[in-house]
Parts: sequence; structure tokens; C-alpha cells
Amino acid sequence: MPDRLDELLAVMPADPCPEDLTVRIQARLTYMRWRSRRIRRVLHFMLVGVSVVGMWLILPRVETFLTALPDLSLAAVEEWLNALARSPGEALLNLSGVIITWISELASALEIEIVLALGILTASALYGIITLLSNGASRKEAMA
Amino acid sequence: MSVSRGREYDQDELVLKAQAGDAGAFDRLVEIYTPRLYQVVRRFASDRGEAEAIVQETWLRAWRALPRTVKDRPMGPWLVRIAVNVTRDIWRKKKPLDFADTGGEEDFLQDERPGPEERMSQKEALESLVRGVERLRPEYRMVIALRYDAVLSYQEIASALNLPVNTVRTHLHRAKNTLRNWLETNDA
Repeated sequence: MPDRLDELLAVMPADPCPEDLTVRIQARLTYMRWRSRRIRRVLHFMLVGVSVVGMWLILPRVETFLTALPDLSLAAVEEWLNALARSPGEALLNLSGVIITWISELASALEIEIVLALGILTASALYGIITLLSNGASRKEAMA
Repeated sequence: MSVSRGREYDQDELVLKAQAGDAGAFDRLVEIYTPRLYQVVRRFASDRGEAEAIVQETWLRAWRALPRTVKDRPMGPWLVRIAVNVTRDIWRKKKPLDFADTGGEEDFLQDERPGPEERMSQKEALESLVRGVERLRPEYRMVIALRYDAVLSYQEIASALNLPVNTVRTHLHRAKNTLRNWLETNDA
């Protein structure tokens, strides 16, 4: 049960809030928002630049990847399916041989620039996805 | 920080807008809550400068945390909780808070006779009480501020201070006993 001391404590005089405190807080918040927007913009600009570099590195080498690809025409697939029906073991052995040859050709074509370009593009794509997801989640939470 | 129900509806809308990134709505919340928040913080802060620093940092943290916060809780206790964390961080650099359940020389059995607060006039008692609260241990000042200035429940205080409810009760009991003792000395 509240006693006299409780009553007194509940009505204790308090220091008034300085008049300009709210304005100062709002000014700091404005500066903080401006700074974080600027940092985000710089980061986006850098990522776009880095992605362009990545594309510039990888585009001339796309042909190498395409020539290294095994023949995936309809006729070749049909022929392989026939072979699978005739002799499954031999067909699977041939397929694994083709895959190994493709991987080794791809590996030999992987120069340091391509590895770098792939890394850059993957990082940019991941950042983009994370940004999109976190923005979406924030909006969803706010509207819930 | 109690507010009337009608205003709370408007504030819920402001909170939702602020969560969606509306800076204007958040600035309006700053205008609404800062005066009361300052008074709560000032009660346990060492001085005006520290109270202002705590309130400012509280709002900066609130702005960063708001989009991730599920706002089914009232804004006032949430802000007080952030302010308590900010204060703990500031005080940790000076001297850590000690909420350990230790009795002190101020802990004595409650006297059944009318206390000094009954005999003194309201004005005298309040003036003396304010000075008494200023002299309390920081941990006690904090529970007094949360209970009587922020008007938080025991459960809310326990949650803000990360303490069991019974420890909060003990601290409040001891703080009040210390204050009775102080008023007694002053009355004499």
C-alpha cells in the first residue's frame, strides 16, 4: 500500500528540461541521417564502379567459357540417351569423361583476372541482395 | 512515462511512420518524449551535463534500433530502457554499477511509528527528499527514478535493469529506508 513517502516520491520536483535540448537532439539526428545517407551513397557508387570493373574483366573471356562448354545440341542429347538405353554403364562413363574434360578446360582458362572478377561480381550481387532483403524486412516490420 | 490513451493512439501512428523511415515523425516523437525522459534521467544522472548526454545518446540509439524493433510495447518504457543502457555504458567507464543484493548500514527494520515525512510540511519534505535522493547510491537513484519518475511497474524496472523482480523490490525498499533515515536526520 502506498505510504506518505510513496506519495512524496511521486510528486518530487524535477529539474526542467533545457529548452534547446530537443532542438539539439533533432540537429544531431539530422546530421546522423545525412552522414549515413552519404556513406550509403558512396558505398553504392563504389560497388557500381567495382561491378563495372568486374564485368570489364570477365566479358572478353566469356567466349573461352562458351567454347569450353560441351556440345548440348538436341541431337547430341538424343544420341547420348540412345547410348544410355543400349549400354548404361558405358554412357555414364562417357558422360563423366566429358564433364572432367570440361572442368579441366575451364580450370586452365581461369586466370587470376577471372577469379578476381568473379569474386567482385559475387560480392556485389550478395550486397545487393542483402540490402534489398533488409529494406524489405524493415518495411514489412514497420507495416505489421 | 505515462501518457493519456488518446495521445497514445496518435503516438502509435507516429511510431509506425518513424519505423518506416519518416524522419519528421521521429522528430515529433523527440519533441513529445524528451522533456519527460530528461526528468527521469536527470534524477539518476550525476549532473545536468551527464543527463543531457544520456538523453541525446538515447535518441540516437533509438533511431538506429527503431526499424528493427517490434513496436507492440509502449514507447516510454522502451526509451527508458535504452537510457538505462546508455547510462550503464557511461558509468561503466567511471565505476561499474553494483546491483548486488548486499545489505548496508542504511538497511534497518521499518519503524511502526509515524515517519518524519508525516511530521514535516509537504514543501519541506519534498525539498529534503530531493536532496536525499541526490545523495543515494547510483543504483538506488536509478530504481527510484524508474519507479516514481518514469512510473514503471516492478516488472518493467526488472526488465530494464536486467534484474529479478525481487531484487528490484529489495532495492526500492532499501532506498526508501535510506530516505526515511535521511528525512529523520534532517528533521532533527
